Amino acid sequence: MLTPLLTVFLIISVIQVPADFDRTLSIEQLVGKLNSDNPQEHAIARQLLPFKPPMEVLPKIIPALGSDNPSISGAAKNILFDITNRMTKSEQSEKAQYIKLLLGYFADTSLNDLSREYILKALSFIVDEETPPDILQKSLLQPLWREKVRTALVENGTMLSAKILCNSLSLLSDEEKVAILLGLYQMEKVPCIEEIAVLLDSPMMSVKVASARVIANTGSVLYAPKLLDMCKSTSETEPLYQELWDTYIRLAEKAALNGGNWDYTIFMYRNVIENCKISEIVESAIIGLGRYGDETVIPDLEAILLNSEKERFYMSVFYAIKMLNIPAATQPMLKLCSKLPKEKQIYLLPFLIQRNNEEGKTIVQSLLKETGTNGKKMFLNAFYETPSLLYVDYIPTIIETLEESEKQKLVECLWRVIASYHEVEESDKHLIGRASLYLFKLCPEEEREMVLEEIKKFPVPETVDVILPELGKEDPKNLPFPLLFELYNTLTDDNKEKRNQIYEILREQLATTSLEKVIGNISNSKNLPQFYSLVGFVDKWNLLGPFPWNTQTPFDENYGFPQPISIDSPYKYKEKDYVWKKDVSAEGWGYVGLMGLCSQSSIECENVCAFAYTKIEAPEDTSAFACIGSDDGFRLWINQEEITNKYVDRGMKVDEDKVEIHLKKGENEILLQITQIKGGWNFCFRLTDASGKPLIFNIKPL
Amino acid sequence: MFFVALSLIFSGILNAVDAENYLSFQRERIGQGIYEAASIFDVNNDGIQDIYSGEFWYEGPDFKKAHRVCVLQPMDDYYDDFSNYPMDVNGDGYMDVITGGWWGKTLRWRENPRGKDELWITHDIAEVGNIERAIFCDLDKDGIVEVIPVTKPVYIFKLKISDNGKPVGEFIKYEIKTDGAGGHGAGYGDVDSDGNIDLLFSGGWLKSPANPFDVGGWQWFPEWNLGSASVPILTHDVNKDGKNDILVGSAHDYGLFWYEQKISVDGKRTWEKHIIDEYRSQYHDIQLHDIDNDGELELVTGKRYRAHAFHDPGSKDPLGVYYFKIKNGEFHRYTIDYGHAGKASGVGIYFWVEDIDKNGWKDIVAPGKEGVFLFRNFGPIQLTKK
Repeated sequence: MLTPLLTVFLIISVIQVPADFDRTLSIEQLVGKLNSDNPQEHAIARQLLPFKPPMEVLPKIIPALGSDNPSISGAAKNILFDITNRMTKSEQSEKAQYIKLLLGYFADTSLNDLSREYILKALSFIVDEETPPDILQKSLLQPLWREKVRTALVENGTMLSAKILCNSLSLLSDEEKVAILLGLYQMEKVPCIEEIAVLLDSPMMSVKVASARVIANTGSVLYAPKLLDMCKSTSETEPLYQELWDTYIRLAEKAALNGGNWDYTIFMYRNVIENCKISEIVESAIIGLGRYGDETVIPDLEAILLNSEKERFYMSVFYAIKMLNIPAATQPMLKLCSKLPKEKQIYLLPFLIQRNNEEGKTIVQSLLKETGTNGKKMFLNAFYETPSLLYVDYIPTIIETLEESEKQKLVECLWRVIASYHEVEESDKHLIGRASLYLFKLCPEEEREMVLEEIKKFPVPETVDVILPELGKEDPKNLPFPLLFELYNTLTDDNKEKRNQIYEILREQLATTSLEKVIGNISNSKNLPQFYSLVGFVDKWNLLGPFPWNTQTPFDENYGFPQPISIDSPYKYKEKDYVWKKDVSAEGWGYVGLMGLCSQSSIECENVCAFAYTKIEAPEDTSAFACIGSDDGFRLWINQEEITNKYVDRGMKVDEDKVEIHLKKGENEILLQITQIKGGWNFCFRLTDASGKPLIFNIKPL
Repeated sequence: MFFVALSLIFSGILNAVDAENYLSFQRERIGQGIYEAASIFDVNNDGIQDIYSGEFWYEGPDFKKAHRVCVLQPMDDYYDDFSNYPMDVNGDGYMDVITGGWWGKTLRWRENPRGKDELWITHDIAEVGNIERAIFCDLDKDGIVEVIPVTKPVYIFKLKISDNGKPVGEFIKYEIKTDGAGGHGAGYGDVDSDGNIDLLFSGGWLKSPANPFDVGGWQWFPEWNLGSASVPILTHDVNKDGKNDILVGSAHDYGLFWYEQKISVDGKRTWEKHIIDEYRSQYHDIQLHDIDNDGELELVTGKRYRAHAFHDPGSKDPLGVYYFKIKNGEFHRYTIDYGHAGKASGVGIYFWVEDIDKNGWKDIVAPGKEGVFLFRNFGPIQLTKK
C-alpha cells in the first residue's frame, strides 16, 4: 500500500511541469491545452492562464470546471481560484464586474453542480460590501444549496455575508434557523443581534442555545440578563443545561475582552458561581474573577476558600489569586491567608512570593518550618515562577529536601536571580551575593567557574568559605583587590583567622600596587573609610600653628623644635602663645587639612607653616618607611631627630616621598612641619615595611 | 452541598450590588493614535459629532476616517499636546482647538480650515512656561470661556470679541498678582459661595474679585496642600450641606480624595480629607457628569497611563475608567474598564464626556498612551427581559 506522501510524489512525478513556459501562448491556445487529454498540457494551462486577463479567461474556463476528466476540472478550478484572488486586488469597478460575472455563472442552472460549487467557493474569496446580495440570498433559501452557500458566506466573513445570513432568519423554519445561527456564530460582526435576541424565546431549545451562542460571541451584555434567566430557569437535568451556562460564561469572557463592561462581567462571573451546578463552569468563573478582577473580588474568593471542601474549587481560587496581580490585593490577601489552615496557605505561596512583601515573607517562613516537604516543594515551584530576591535566604531550608531534577530547577532559577542584579538596589546586592553562593553549591561542576565570577562581584561574609578554598588555589596576589577588600570588611572577629589571612594578601597587594590605583578601584565601596586605616595612614594628630614662615629660608628657623612637647600647655614662640589643636582626625584617605588653623587665627594662609605631632607604639624595634604626601613642603622628626625635609610648592599626592626611619620598641614621637606658600595646605602620612606592605601601629594617646 | 453553600454566600454579595444600575458600554479603539488629549465636537459642521485627538480628527458617526490636523513632535514619552479644547477662536463658525503642552511652553490654538481636509494652522497665543494642561471656565459669565493654562504665575486669557460680537482670533492676557498659586494641579469653582468663580491650586485657592480681570484683586488662601493634584481640581457639594467641597485626584501617586469644607462657629474655614480610593494611581483628570441620567452628578475619571513614564507609584498597575456615584458623602465606584495597557484604557490627561451618538446617554472619549478609545454608553443593563 502506498503511503500518502509517496502517492503525492508519484503524482508530481507523472505531471511534470516543463521548466520553461512559452508565455506567448494565447488564451485560446492555453484553453485548448486545458481541454486536451494530456495532463502535461493541463499543467501548462494551469500555470499560464492565471497571468492572462481574468475577465477574458473566466468565460473560457467555465465549461472545463464541469469536465468529467478530474485533471481538467481540477486545473480549471485552480485557474478560477487564482484569477479570482488576483481580482480581489483589482480596482473596485473591475472587481464588481468580475463578481457580477461570477454570480451570473453561479445562478446558471445549466452548469453542473460541481462547476457551481467551484464558482461559489471563488465567490467566497471576493464578495464584498458592494456585491448585490440577491442571488446569494435566494440560493441560501434553496434547501439543496443552503449549506454550501452558508459555508461560503461564513468563509467570506464580510458584513454583507452576515446580513444575508441575518435576512434569511425570518424566512426559515426554527429548525432551519439553527444552521444559520451557527454560521453567524462564526462571524466577527453580526448586524442582527436584536432579531437574534428575540429567538431566545423560541420554543425550540436548539434555537435558544444557538441564538445564545451568537449573542455570547458578540459580547453584548445587554442580553446577559435574559440569558441568565434562561440558565436559571433550565433544569440541570436538561441536556442543554451545561451548554446554556457555557454560553453565559462565554459571554462574560467575551465582554471582558471587549472591555467597557467590567462591573457587569464580574457580576456575571458571580452569577455563575452562585447559580451554576457544573463544576467546570464554576471553576472557569472563579478563574475569570482572578484574570479580570481587582481587589473587590477578594471577598468572593475568600467565601469560596473558607467554605469549599472541594479541592478543585480552592485550587481554582489559588490560581485566581495568583493572577490577581495588583498591589491593592496584597493586604486583603494577606488577611485572608491568616484565616486559612496551613495546608491551604501553602497554595498561596506563589502569591506571597510574587508580592515581594515583608509581611508575606514572615508567613512563608513559618510555612517552610511547619509544612514539611510539601510546603518546600510548593515554595520551589513558586520561587521558580517568581524568583524574588526577598526569598533567597530561604534556599538553604529547602536544599536538602530536593530531588536531583528539582535542584536543576533551582539552579536555573538562581541564575535568573543573579542575572537581575542590575535591577537591584545597592542595599540588596548582598542577596545577589548569597544567591551566587547557593548557586555555587548546587550547580554542575562545569558551571562552577562561571559562578565564581559572579561570586566575586558581590561578596558577602559567607563568600569567604567558598572563595578562599577555591580562589586560594591561585596565587593570592592575582586575586582582585576589591574582592579581597570587601571580604575583609565583611568578616567579623568571629572569623579572625580568615580575616587575618585576607589582610595578609591585601598587604602584599598594597606593597606592589599604587595606592591611588587601588583607591580608584574601590572608590564606590561603602567600606572605603576602612580602607584608609587598613593601608597604614596615621590618622590622629595634634596641630600647632600657623607660624610665619619665609620661603627664602624654608628650614632655617626651627621654631624651638625639637624639644619635649606637652600639648596641654600653650606653646610660646616670639612672645606669642600658640595652642595645640588636639586629636585632629584624618579625613578620607589619610588627608589632614591645615587651612582651619588659619581661619581660627584669622590670618592670611600664605607663607606660613604648622606642626603636626603624634605618638605611635611599636611592638618591637622596626625598620620602616615613612610615606609622605604634602602640600606644600615638609620636615620630619622621629623621636626628636630630624630625618629629612623638602622645600617644594606642590599639591598633595599620596606616598609622594618615602624615607626610611627606625622605630624603637615602645613609644615613638613623630613631628612634621608642613609649609605653606599659598593655596591648599594639607598632608598625609603612613608607614610601610621595606617591601611596601602597610604597617599599622597603635596611636598613643597624649 | 457545596453549591448550596456558594449560593447562600453569593446571594449576599450580589444583593449588595445594585446590579440594575450597571450601564452598558461598548469600547471602540479610535484610530491608531496614542495622544493624551481628546474632545468631541462637530469639526466640519455637518451636524454629526466628530472626535478630535492629537494629530487627527476622526469623522463621525463611525470615526473610521482620520483627517490629519497637524504634525506633533514626540517628546520622550509624550506629545506636546495636553489639551484639545474646542472653541471658535476666529469667529468663522467652525470650532478651533486650544492646546498647550509641557514641552513647548506655549499656549496655542489650531485653526480649523472650515472642515476641509487640510492641515490646521497653529497659532501661538503666548509663551507662558511649561503647561501642565489648561482649564477652561467662564470666569466673567459672559458665555465665553476663559483659558487658564496651569502655569506659575497664573494667567487668564480672554478671547477678544469684536463690536459685532464675534471672536477675532486673539486673546487678552491677564496675569494675576499673587505670590501663591501655581504648582501641579488647578481647578475652578465657587469655594466660598459668594457667586464668583474662584481658582483652585495645589496649595490653596484664589478668591475671585467681583471683576475677575482685576488682577490685583485676587486673594490667596493657602488652606490645603494637595500635592501633585489632578487637573482639574473640582468643587462639588458632596455632603449636600450647602458648602462646596473639593474633589481631587493624585495625578502622580495613589489616591482620589475629597476635602470636606467646614466652617467653625468663629467663621474659620477648615478642610477634612476623605479617601475616595486609595488603591489606584495617576488620577490626572477628573470630571463631574451625570452619566447614568439619574439627575445627580457622578465623578468620572481614570488613570493617566505612564503619567511620568513608569516613574510614578503604581504606574505599572492596571489602567481603568471609572465613575463614582456620590450619595450622602459616600462614593461608590463603578468600573467601566480595567486591565493592563493593550487590554484596557485609562483616560489620559484630557478626556471628554458627551453624548456622541445622541442616544440620550453620555459617552466617553478616553485618550492616552494606550490608545484613544470611545466608550459608547447604551444606558442600564436591564435585569428584566428585554
